[in-house]
Amino acid sequence: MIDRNSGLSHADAEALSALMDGALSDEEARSLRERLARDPALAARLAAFEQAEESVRDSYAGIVDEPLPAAVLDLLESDDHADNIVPLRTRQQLRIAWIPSAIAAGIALAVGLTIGVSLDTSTDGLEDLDFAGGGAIAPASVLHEVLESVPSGESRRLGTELAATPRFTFKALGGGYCRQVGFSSAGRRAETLACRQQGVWHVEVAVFAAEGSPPAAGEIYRPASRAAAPLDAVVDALIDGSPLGAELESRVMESGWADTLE
Amino acid sequence: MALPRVRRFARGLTGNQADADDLLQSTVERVLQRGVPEGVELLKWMFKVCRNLHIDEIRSRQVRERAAARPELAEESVVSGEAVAIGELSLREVERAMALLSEEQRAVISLVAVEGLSYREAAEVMDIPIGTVMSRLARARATLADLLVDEQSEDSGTKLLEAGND
Repeated sequence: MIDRNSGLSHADAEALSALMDGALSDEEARSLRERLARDPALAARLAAFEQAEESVRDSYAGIVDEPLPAAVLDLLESDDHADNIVPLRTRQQLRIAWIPSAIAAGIALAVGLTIGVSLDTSTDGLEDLDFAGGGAIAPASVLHEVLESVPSGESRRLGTELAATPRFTFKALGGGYCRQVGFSSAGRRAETLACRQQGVWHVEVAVFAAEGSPPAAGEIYRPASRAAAPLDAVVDALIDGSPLGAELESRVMESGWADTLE
Repeated sequence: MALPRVRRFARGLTGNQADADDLLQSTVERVLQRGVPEGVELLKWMFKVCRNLHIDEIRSRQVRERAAARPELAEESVVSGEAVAIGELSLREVERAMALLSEEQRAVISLVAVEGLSYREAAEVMDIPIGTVMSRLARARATLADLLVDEQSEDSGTKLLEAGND
């Protein structure tokens, strides 16, 4: 009854469906492919499943690029929920979560991502910046030290090639501080946004940009001065007021990143 | 990137932009109020909240089920024969076919086929066993193939798209 065209059983429809998703065991897949080779009706049905699926996927593809409704963006900006139990992180995640895919295409990683411990010692290339971990920037790492104590505008070497330069510091909506930090290594650059929560820095967003060369897969190319442009949307979403001036930044560092300075 | 995808999921569930945006707004409100459980990925959690809110709404108002049975859907062909022939269907045409699926089938096809979730992830979002995901997916795909694909068939008299074909 499930298949008005070919009278296929539901078990067959389920097998075709699982084959499309690569969900069959090797043995099941091999056996089904042998049947498909012998049975044109079954093969036609698989083709129909796949064609329908492609239509559905293609039709919905554009929706993610449409601007979000103003009412939803207003919700993200409002502080109605600021006093309740929702952690800052949820609000930050939600704010980052609306970045349109056109911008997100240049953002290697979006939310709650981390730099691995590999930064502790001899890190040389941008490829060594492992943002795919699952925690935070290790408090024992050089990068943690850079974020904690290097003033914006000054560079520190993390390895023979790799250098980190904090760009600016700002107070985040809902509390805590964030810093934009640039990395460079052998002419390649990455801009990241790191936010401090409970004494630990988390990389929220990383944008990789090549200088003077065409973009590799997954990268966007921008002139050096605009390499950080995709980050701006994230900064705009998170920033409370303006970036800190040098003097205030220095006082915040001395206070151990206290939320309110005496 | 999560919010546009939650919005697309909501669109798959509701079948129109106005209802999808209402559902997205409720989802964001709920997540802002209650947060995301420790160790749970934001996107998956939002899918789950979104789906649960949608079910609540269906149960309380019984609106969407009536929408799926709108008489104009039965009277007209779902898609034009020409569009089927060149394999290009508009979102509106696809949505009319999606409207003929059950709510569970719409949810599972949206999660797996559109959002690319694994069976396990979809099962977690929908709180159902993986076997149920596979079964619903197969039914959804069979129905969509019937409605959206111009298969050669002597039994084509029952197909909704028949009216538009040569």
